[in-house]
Amino acid sequence: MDHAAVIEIVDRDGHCRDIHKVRAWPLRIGRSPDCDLVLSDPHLAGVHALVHWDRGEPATEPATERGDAALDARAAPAAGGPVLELLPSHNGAWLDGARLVAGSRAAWPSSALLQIGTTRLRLRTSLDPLPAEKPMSRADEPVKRDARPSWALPALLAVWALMLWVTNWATNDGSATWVDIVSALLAPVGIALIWSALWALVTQVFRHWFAFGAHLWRVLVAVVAMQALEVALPVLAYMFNLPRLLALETLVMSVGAALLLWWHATVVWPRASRGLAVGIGAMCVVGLVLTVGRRTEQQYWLGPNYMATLPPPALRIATPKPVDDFIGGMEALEAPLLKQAQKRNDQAGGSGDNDE
Amino acid sequence: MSRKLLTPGRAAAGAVLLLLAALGLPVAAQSPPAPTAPIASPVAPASAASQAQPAAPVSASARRLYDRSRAQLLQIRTLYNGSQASVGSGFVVSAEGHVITNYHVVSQHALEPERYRLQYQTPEGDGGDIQLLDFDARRDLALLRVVAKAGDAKTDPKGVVARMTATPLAFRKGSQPLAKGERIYSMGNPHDVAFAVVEGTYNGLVERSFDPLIYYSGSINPGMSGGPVLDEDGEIVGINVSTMIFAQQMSFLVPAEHAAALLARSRDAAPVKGAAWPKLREQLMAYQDELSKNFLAQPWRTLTHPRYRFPIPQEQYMRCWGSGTSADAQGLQMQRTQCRMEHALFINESLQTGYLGVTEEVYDGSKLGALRFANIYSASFRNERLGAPDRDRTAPYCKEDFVQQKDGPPLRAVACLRAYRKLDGLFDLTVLVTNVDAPTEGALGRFEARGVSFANATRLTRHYLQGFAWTTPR
Repeated sequence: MDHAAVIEIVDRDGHCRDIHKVRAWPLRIGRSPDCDLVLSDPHLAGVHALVHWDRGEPATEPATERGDAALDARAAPAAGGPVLELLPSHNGAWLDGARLVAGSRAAWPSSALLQIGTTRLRLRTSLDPLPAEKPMSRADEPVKRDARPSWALPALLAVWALMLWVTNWATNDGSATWVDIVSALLAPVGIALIWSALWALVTQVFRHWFAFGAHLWRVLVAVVAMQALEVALPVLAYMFNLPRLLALETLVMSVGAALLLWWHATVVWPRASRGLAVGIGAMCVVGLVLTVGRRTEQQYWLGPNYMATLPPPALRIATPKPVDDFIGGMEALEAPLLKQAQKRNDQAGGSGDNDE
Repeated sequence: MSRKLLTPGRAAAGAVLLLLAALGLPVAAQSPPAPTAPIASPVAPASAASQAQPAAPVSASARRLYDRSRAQLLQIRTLYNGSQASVGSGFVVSAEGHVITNYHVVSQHALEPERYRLQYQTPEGDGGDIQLLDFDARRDLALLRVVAKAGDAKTDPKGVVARMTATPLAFRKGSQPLAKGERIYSMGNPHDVAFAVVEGTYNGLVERSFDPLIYYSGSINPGMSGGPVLDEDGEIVGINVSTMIFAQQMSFLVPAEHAAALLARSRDAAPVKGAAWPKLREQLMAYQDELSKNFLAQPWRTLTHPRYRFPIPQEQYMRCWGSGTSADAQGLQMQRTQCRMEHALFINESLQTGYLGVTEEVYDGSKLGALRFANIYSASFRNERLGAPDRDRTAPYCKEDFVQQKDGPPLRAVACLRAYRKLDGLFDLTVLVTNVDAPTEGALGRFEARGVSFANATRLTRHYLQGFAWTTPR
């Protein structure tokens, strides 16, 4: 036993799946239980290969199929090191993608990945410099199970359900049946659950963690916040007569949706949160630009033509103006309208009968 | 073939159909606005009555009149790339070859002369070029003149123009008004099939209109637009212009005096050069001024409501229709009064203008409570359509605020304007008004003016807003 070494069995992602300590040189690799490293790979011979520790004696001529220079160089290690010798087999092996036929010998540096049968092996010896210990990223720390109290999720769900119920109650005139009311309540909740489950599945794939609760929490926070804003904005606009506040609605909706997406995505790919922020932010900006681009002929780039929400009169704080002031304010519309009229538009219009 | 049923599916009951025959042009595009549902009911009983009446046989007069005037009858064809884009009718009114037809028959040529050419065709099948001298968009009339000179061997070798202009049709004098029930005879070429003479009855003028047309009981059809309507003496009493769809034998004629005035005014005018938008604009400007002045001079009527006084227009040239939810309806109760001028000015296939309308909706949400009422009423206020930008008009630009008069309730007012792209300085105005002082009562008003100047739009808005008041002064 000259040097400590391990053989790592590597999966397709390049991650180490299993590790085998080399206890004595030469090491026999194969399917047979007599081998030192037993691999249950049907594409291997009973004893498929030997790994020697070469002390720097002149090596025998390698018998590679192509005989390329790289393998020649490896076949005669100057300072010694591990050497792979293939025993008789059908399938031979590949060293870093280069074919080795049965019976050939080749040096096996630790940088090279050996494939025998369908199994991939990597050799690591005490001669190889050991990379420094990497600092851990936050994402790799154990998930905090107690990030929020256990009642928070059900409570938020209850708040949302209540909001849905109130909205639904306020928009129907009493003619809706209980079936309508229940389905109007369950449909959004169902969609939120399915959405969270899909995100959890994606998380499962990438992080082996079915993060349903984490995703549901994110959906609920976003939806409740947006719904609250959707109610609050028009009411505020009405109270203080600030109709342009409604332009925020479109903005809040698209930015809110982008933020929610980003928040979900950081659960799945925690290491890439900055890249995700840039990507989703760019998508959001493109979406907004398209929205605005479609509305260049409108009076406002964002928001409705006029404020239509009329909350109960007790909420009104703004004082009404005299009619003359209002008429005076209309004058400001003339110039932009005349300017707009100069522009060409090939949209076919109605007879004038239909657009009322 | 430009065959077309007179009953297009899209048009609302009671809509008026202009009698221009054109392939591919949707018929409803030529029908001016009309209230959607309400007009159907009063029209319905009329159909039973007319079915009971057997069609009168064409009398000897019709034959005599047709024989006498056929030389002056013309089909007016608008050609696009050599094929007819639309056809109407016309008639010769002077020895110099002046021809009267409807503006809507020649509007394509008037607005796009480089794409559309005008030609006439006689009942015998002879034809030639004809040019536009002037038009009266308000009355839907146009004055044309045959290009070829009568007796000129070069331009009129077959003497077609000479025959046409030998005995031009004369206008009936205004001093001899027709009596209701008198027989009159409409001529024209329906659907490009053949020249037809249709016998019908003069029924006086259409009531409650700003520019009254003659109400004629006779079946006139698309393609007859611009054709003459003659009395027993062969004198012109009117010009075919439109018909009521989903109605029987309800047709409308432009009174002949307007055509006589147009001829007198522009007998020696030079042919219109280039697109006629500036001329059209000038006429519409004058018309909207007259209409707005007249409307602003009228006091509002009052709609009975315990709390508010709503502005409802006089029914001098508007018709009002009422509707609402049934008395035992659950939830929100609504009553609507919709007033509108039923006559609109034709500009082109996609644009009609020059009318006013007022809609008042009263909502009672006492069965709902304040919160629910606020929500549902808001949806109703949001639901008002203002129109999207198109070829003819811009998107709506709105001014909104809370307004209150000294003796009136606080209101939320939204005034929206759309500018006309090719008729510089004309606008469509929509004013939305709602009360903002009652938790479960809604009063939603909508005032509409099509094709008015900016100054008139502001005047009309002021007039409308001033019409809102408390029923009992507080």
